[in-house]
Amino acid sequence: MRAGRMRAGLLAAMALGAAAPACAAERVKVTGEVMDTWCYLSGVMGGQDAVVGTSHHTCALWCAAGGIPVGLLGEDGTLYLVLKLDGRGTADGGESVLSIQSHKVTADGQLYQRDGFNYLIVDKVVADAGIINETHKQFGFVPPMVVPQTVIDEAKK
Amino acid sequence: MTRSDGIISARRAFALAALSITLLLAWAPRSGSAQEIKGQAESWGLQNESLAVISGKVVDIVCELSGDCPSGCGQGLRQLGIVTSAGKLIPVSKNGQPAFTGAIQELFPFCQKTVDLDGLYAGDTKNRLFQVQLIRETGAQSWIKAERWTQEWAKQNPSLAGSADEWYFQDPRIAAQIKARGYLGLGPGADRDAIRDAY
Repeated sequence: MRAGRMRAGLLAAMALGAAAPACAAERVKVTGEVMDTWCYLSGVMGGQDAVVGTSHHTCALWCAAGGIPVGLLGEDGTLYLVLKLDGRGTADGGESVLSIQSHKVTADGQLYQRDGFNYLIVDKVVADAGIINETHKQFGFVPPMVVPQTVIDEAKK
Repeated sequence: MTRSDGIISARRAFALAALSITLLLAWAPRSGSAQEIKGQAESWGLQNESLAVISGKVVDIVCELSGDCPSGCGQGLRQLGIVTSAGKLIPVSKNGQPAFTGAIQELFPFCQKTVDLDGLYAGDTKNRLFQVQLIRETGAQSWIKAERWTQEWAKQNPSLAGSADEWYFQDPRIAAQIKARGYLGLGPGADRDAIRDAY
């Protein structure tokens, strides 16, 4: 009898856990750099300092066009996954995403936090300072293959 | 020990046995669950990497969070993930190709279906992303390689289809950005000196 009650309680608790409520949105303004989340988090191209800014700009274009989630790296180091920008999904590497890749922007939008991630639906980019993080001065081009050999040869003439 | 003591001990033993069985029933993995699936994914040698097989329903993340739910998981415009049976939302960010390609094209055919994903987690101490290498609808026997992205790109760019493996050098969207702003994004004029220094 007691075990039966306990089992019922456990199953009820499990059922409640399975039906997690949707999280509430918080209106935020976030200032940071638009960047490539996969290379930044996975370490596939090296340290995090090398895969932001100018050194990684072309690769960040590739990853955004490839549908890898675009991030906004806040000035305090908080990473936001940008799900929508100007009312449109970001997964197809559209012009609105590519044109601000690596830029320092201030985004106004809705923040959702769930299971450890910060998700941002950007209603509007309210400030755009352009690309100011000139990491190429320290790291060159990351990865080096972003510049085709023909372009390298031309630049060295 | 009296007879009544013996009866009480027997009842306690029975209750403990019943509780043990209850806990086992409550927490034992169900047949066919992801916990029993042996993964085939390969290491990429990434930061904080761990191989994993995960299962859940394919969802449009915007829909899952905000209730803004267009048909068909956003028709390829939205980031996708899975929601596990425990209610955990896991964004799926990378496919199995070493080609700067995400996971949308891999998950999109399984919108709202329950799938098994064989791949890996990688990330820093705060966030870890999931890369899918193999995918199948839960219950199916055979796995599908999560390498559709370049095929889909070739369909969208038929005149460039022969170069799909290195699509990033040919993609018109990227070419337009580089033409306008250069490889560093600072304008074409800024590239020359940086290229000379770097190569």
